[in-house]
Amino acid sequence: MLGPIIVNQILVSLDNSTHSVAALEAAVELAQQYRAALKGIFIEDINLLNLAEMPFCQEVGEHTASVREITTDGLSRGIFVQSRSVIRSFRKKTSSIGIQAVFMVLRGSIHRTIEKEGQSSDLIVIGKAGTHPVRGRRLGSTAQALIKNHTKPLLLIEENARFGQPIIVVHHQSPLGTRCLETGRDLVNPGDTLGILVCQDDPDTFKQVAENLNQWATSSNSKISIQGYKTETIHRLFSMLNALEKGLLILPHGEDVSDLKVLHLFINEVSQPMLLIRNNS
Amino acid sequence: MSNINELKPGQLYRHCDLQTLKFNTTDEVEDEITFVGQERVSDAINFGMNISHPGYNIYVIGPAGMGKRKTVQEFFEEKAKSDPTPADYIYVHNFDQPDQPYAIALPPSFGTEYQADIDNLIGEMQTALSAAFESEEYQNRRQAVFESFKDKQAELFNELQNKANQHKLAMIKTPSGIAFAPRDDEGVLSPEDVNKLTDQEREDIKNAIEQLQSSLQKILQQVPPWQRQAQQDIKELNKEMANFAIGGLINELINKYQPYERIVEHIKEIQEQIIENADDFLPTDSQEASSFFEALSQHKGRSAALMDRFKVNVIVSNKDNQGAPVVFENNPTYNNLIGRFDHYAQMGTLMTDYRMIKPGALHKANGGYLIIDVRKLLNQSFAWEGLKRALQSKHIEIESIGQSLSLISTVSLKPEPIPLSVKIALVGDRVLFYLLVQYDPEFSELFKVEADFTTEIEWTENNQGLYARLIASIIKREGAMPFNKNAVARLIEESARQANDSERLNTRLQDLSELIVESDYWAKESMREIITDDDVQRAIDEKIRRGDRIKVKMQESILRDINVISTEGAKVGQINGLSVYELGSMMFGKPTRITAQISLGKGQVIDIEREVAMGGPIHSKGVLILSGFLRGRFAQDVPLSFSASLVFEQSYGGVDGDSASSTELYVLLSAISGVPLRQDLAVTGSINQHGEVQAIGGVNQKIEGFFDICKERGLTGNQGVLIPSANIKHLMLRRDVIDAVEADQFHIYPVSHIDQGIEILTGIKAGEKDENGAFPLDSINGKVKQKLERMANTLARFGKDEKDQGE
Repeated sequence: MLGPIIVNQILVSLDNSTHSVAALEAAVELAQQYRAALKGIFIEDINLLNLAEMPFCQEVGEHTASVREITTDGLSRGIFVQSRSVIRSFRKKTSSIGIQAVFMVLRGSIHRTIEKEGQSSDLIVIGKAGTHPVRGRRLGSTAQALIKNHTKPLLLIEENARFGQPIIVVHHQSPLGTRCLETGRDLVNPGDTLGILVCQDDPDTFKQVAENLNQWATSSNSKISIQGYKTETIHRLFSMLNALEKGLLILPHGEDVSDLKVLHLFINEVSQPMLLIRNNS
Repeated sequence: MSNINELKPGQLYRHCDLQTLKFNTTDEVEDEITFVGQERVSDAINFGMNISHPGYNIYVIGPAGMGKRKTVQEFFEEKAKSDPTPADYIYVHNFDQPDQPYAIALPPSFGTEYQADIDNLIGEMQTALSAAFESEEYQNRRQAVFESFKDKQAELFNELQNKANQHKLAMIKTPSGIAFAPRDDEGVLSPEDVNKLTDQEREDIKNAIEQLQSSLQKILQQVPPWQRQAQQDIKELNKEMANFAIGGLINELINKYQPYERIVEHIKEIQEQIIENADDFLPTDSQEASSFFEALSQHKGRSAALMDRFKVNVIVSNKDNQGAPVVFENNPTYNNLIGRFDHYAQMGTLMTDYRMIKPGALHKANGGYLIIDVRKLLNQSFAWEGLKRALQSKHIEIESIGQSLSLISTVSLKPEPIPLSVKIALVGDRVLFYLLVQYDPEFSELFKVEADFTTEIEWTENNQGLYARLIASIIKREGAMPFNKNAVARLIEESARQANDSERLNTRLQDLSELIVESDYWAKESMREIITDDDVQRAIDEKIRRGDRIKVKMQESILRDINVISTEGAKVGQINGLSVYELGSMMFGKPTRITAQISLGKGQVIDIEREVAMGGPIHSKGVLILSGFLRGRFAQDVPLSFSASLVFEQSYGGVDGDSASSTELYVLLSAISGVPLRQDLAVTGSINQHGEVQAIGGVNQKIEGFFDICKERGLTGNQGVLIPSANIKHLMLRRDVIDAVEADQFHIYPVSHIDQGIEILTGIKAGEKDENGAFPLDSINGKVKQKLERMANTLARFGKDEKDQGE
């Protein structure tokens, strides 16, 4: 049986996007809750730096639509300004709250660098999207890559979302499901209720799962509230979740194809912060 | 010895006739009154209250403690009952010129009602707007606008991305723009990989990038108009939703306040503001906010601030008033009179708005009556000028003093002035009234009615009855125990004593109230439930005892012969005069030795007090008058050939008044004639040039002052005081003095002419001129005449000898 995730070190990857602001907020709160060390990183994108050395590469100003030459100096200065702004935000958030916090500026491919740095951390926190012009409601390329490859618990957070209570666990009957439950129990405020979402497509299974959950709650001395949902009306659940002012959704990131489909629905449709936990996390 | 009759005990004090008091205790007296004998004041106040022309405000004149304020307040309150209740006034925000809030008049009680209605409206609007903006309809329509914008944008970017993909190019966000770079399946090519490409390949890439850049430029140029359109669409949607959400609420209120044009305008303005600023009422987690935290803080601030501007500031509410208001402003500062606007600190700046406007006494009394103590008013900077300005302009215009003097520079207001209609009563003393009349030309234009309080009334049977009712009223007002008939009589007698007149009663209500309260105290100390004349006497005695330390010290000084006063024997050129001291609330008399010396001279009487600048002008006048008398009586055929000096012995504090002029004449006559004066008598009284003795002030205290010394030394049965006959009616002497007179131990001689007085003082006839114009030789006047003739001859001889010697 898998226990809850243990978090001693948190990695938060920051850029100058609004998603990143929310990610930093959440990372700081989690670090306080787990009494964990916080490591912030800003990655100088190697692909971006390479642009200046290509003879035919130019940039189009986002707000002026004018075409300009790209120079190494110009790019370096721009990236430096961004990193300085990020460092300032990081220090402001972490300076007076009594957690161990370090910040590093790294250079490389963004998602690879995060994966590499994440190896020495227990939890990775990132924004759902970066600063790419083709944003819409799509996940950013870095988030996509990390969801695909992560082994450590991954907290995804989008702009304007607020990390906090209530804690809601999307549960299915498995050791990974139990790990998510235990993690939820660790994060819920003392005396508060842990919300649990259980698929109700099969009423008998739902009944059985609910019984097990109640037993678990009794044995672990937890207050829980179970809410069933059906796959065909899952959008109604998403609306309810999106109406919450703040919260945290804990999702098991299993290998089952149907579970993965539901997981991606949650990731794409729900704006609440969500913590993805894998078997090997 | 003179045949002048001394005064009988019955002439020394006027008793209140108990038969005229028709009650046993004051509990039986039901009709309460506030004052007696102030008919002139009543008429003046009634006139001032009822005349509606501008400037007919009232100045109530009288010394402190007369009950002026209470009297005028009761008049006002009585009149106010039948006056119409004035309008309520509210201040509301002026959305066009926020620094000039609007003042709106409403019928009584509508001010608070409208305020409550607007507060309800705000609450209901917030709920309605919240519901409207959170409704599925709104969210869907709003989302549709955004989606449409984002989709348009995304569609073009995706198209571009696809084109880029076709050319194996990556679209990359740079710190300040967007760039394209060649890529393969692994990602963006490194510069080294690019250099390995053929020239043609590089040329193709370059061309493709240029095409994509050109497309990107076109897309980016399209974004701002789309964005503006999307914002405009959202704004229109917000307006539509807001209008629908609050329209019903607004119409309901407009219907209710239909008759009040300005209120309807205000409600419509609120509606317009809500619609114009509908964006501010969007839910705080709006999706389009660029920054979560910024959005949260700014959002709440804007909507709350807007709602705050709808609120109503009720500056005057007559909800609980029946009739016109009557206001007494006890602290008439500029702000307390005219009103003010407070400030609050915001980001280090002092801010204000119409909700911070606070009413002044003029607002509260508008449509009614305002009473102000003029001394307090004049003591406050700018208050008098502010009051005059308001009365002249007939408007209350709130203006910060600091601002008008450019002392402070903060965000300020200029509220719409409120029309003023108020009757003002200034309460103050006579000196201030005359000063204002003389030095402020506007005063007489604004305060045309004088209500002049008299300090005493005639002690008639009718007035005595009223006075008893007044006493009973004060007893009830002060919560004192009931007074019996004797106690009331003693209060009335004491009132006459305070008036220093047995035919008048004091109308200073403060004195009466104090005596009642103190009598009540002493009665309680004596465990009595009904106050008697003993308690009143105790209160009088204790009050004197509390304040007579200086008097006792002065008497002690005489009794120890430090301040030398003789109370026995007779002496030439020396007499006991009487002076009176007024220290605070204490008034007492004290004997003073006056002496005279004469020598040959030219008929001058030297007033030593004047010579050393210790004598006042009235005293000097008295000395000159007595000189006139001497010349008139004795210098018709021979010149006055003497010089005389007069002095108040052991006087170190200055002398004024002419009450010692008869005394000085007596001592001068004694000095000239060589006839000794009785030292067991003391004298007071002024004289005229014919030798007639005239009334003086403080006669009771003067008599008692000399009596106290004699009593302490032991009454001989011969001691007494000479007083002017005109002062008999002022006598209200202490019980122990009357007892001594009754026992023939002390004597009070009324004197109307100097000849009567000199006879009592010397025991020798003054002497009248015979048909030849000569005084009898053994009379005082005869002796004086002889002496003066001798001195004239001596001086004439002396002059002749000198002349002979010179020749």
